[in-house]
Amino acid sequence: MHLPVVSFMHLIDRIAHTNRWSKRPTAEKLAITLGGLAVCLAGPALTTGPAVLLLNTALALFAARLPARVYLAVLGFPVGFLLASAPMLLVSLDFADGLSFAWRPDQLPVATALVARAAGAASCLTLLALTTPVHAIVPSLRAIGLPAFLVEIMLLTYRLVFVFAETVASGYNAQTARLGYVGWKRSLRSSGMLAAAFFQRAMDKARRMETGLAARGFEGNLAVLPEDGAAASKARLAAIAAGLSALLVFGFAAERFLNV
Amino acid sequence: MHIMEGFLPAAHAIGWTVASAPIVAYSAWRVKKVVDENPSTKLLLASSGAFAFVLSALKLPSVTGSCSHPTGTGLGAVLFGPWVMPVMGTIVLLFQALLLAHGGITTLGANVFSMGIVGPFVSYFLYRAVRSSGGSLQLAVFLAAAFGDMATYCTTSVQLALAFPDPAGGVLGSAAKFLGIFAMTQVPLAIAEGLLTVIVMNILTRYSESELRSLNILDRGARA
Repeated sequence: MHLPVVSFMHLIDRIAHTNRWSKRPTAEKLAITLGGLAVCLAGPALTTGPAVLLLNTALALFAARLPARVYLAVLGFPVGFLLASAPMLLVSLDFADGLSFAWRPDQLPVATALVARAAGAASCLTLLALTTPVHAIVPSLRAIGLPAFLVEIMLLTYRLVFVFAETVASGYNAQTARLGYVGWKRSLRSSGMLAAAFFQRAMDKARRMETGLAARGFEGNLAVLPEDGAAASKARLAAIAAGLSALLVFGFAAERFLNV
Repeated sequence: MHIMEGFLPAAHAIGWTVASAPIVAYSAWRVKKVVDENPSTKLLLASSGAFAFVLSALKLPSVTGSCSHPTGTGLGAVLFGPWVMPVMGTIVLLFQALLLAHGGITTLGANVFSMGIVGPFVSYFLYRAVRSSGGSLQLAVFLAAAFGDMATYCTTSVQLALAFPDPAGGVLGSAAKFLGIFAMTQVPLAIAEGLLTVIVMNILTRYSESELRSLNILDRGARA
């Protein structure tokens, strides 16, 4: 498959299904990663951001045993973007007397805080994406009040994304083999044809599934067996909460200590 | 035009989530009415959502030489109607975060606002306006897709400017800065996406009449 996004998605999904944490209770993984996000946003960025980044990296590499190459690649995309865009904050633009640009080194703390916070937060998302399959996350959204029909639609969407990705990737390969992406104009035309053909396939798929389900007496509910993983242990959830709170306290303390 | 995870400070992340939530909830309520009446539309919705997600994996050639990906907001708004888009956009953006580590959970609200709400509505109203004033389908689709993209990128710039005001020029200076930086890449991309969407719609109107008609069910009355 040559569409880079499709290969990347397959890589993330495969690791999410096969790492040491795949079968761990989803609630625990959500507590660590969403809690980590909250800590990153609530605490002083300069200290909590790097602390969360270190913690997540340690968990990813030594606890979940994610392949280091994959973890760094998935984390590397947003962090690379971050490092490229943060320096923009050091350039100031003013309309006061005409248009004027200025280099503002005094904005360095704002830019560093941004890098620290966003890198920490990105590591939380990376850890969640690589340890937890989407079909485990979506049903747990019921707990925060997501209506059942949306959970069903999302689970179906998740399945169809992979079916469609295969269709599109093979169409793309066929077009590439026929030099469909040589030159700008031809690339645009090929992409358009691919999208249109793919739209027909998608709608056709929906219609065939409708017919298939109707023939089996579909009444509106797509009942599936839940995967029986271990239930989240209350003790472990409490430990996670305590650990993250300690991290937050450490962040504030370290900030005060460093400022003095 | 995704804002990455953790880029926005807490107050802004919460603020944009609160701003998007009622619109997404209303959109979900409308979708639920359609689904309750006709349960098989669940499959159509899931198909459409997966279509929108995979569409964003296509390569969009840009004149600057680099490749980017179409947002699909314009095509989505024209095909599925604007009121389906907040829900569908939220699902797609969440999946992009979880399956591609692209975008984020704390910035989901802000991204939904720009890509699931502002972009599609601008696209849709432009499309309707051009069509009802007698413009051709091609012109309507081009303007809808291109300006839907532009509206999305302007919204993102304003979101970033509010979070990171310029020390001298304030929010205005900062907005000008972000708009200027993005303009270099986003204006050619918006034009490319406009052209791409015209090609897609041309093929669809020629070969996919029945599929297009089956979509009317998703947002009745919104389409003529």
